Amino acid sequence: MSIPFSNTDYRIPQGFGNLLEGLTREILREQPDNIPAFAAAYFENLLEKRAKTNFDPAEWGAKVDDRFYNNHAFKVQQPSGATEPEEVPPEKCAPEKDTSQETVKEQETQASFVEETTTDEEEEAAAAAVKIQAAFRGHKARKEMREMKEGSTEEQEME
Amino acid sequence: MPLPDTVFCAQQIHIPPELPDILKQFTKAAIRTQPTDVLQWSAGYFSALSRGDPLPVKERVELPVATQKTDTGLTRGLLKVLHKQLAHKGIVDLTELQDKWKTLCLPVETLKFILRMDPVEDTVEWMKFFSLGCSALGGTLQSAMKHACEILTEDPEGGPARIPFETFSYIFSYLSSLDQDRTESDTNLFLNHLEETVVARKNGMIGVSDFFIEDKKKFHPV
Repeated sequence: MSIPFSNTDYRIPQGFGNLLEGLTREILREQPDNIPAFAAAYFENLLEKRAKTNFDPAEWGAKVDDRFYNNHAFKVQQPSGATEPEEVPPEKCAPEKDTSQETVKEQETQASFVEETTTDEEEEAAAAAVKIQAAFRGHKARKEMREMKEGSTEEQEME
Repeated sequence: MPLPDTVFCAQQIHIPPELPDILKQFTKAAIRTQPTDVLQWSAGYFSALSRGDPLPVKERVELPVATQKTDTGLTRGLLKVLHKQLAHKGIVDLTELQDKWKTLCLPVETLKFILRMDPVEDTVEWMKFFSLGCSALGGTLQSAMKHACEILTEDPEGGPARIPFETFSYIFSYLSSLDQDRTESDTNLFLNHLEETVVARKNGMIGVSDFFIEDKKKFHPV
């Protein structure tokens, strides 16, 4: 058991983990006989690279860690959703409860609209059908009448 | 047909038996030393390790001192590390000194500033540079001597911080020779006075309390 004698933590320097990981990977890959010499050459190489390209793997690792632990992406999204939930389209992440209830209501109202429209349409269709049927029946009756008349005239002519 | 280079599972990776210990010591050293430029320090650490030199590692973690922000970046712990690395050489190449200086992530300007106090060419006597470093740590001669004692002592931390009187008198006379305000006779008088008290204690060691107590009394009158 370790007893803390002071209130300061022993911290691993920023980006050290990244360096350690890279070093270990290279050692395992190359399997050098003299590990300290290899590690010295490895870090010298990294230093040269940093002098040329200004890329510091330790700094980069620190930045990645910082991005991981201080992720502000969530913070940025929340206020926009909370202030204007109405205008945010349902695809975006608006507060879920409210919109879901609203959409349900909307769906219900839409459904009732659909029902009303269907009944109206049915009535119209029925009326139209009646009209068509009436017209057709009238046409048929008139045709029969004409045939009867013609038949009678033909019969009269035959006679 | 065998594929010798293909790795299929973790059991195939051969871990050198000495690797875990190297990595562990490296990590512990990094935590203790808390280098500001990890990459630079790591390069220095392994080049020292491969050559078998003393490592650029603090013995204990050093808490950040308030003056460090305004100060040059040199701390007592860092000077101690330098002393451990270079003291056994006696006379040090400036290039080597600068190399070690950089490894500890110290600014080169500070080194130049320290060296300007007593300009040298190519090589510098380590004890002289060490004395200059001590005076850079503490503004006054007294606090410089206090730092010197606390670094050079073999007593445990927080102890009386005793060092051999010869070392003390060497650093003291060197630093006071650079100070125009102090005459040589003053210095000798002070050293003679101290030597009397030290000889009385037989072991030839001088601690911080032997010369620093007078200064303290001014601030804390009993």
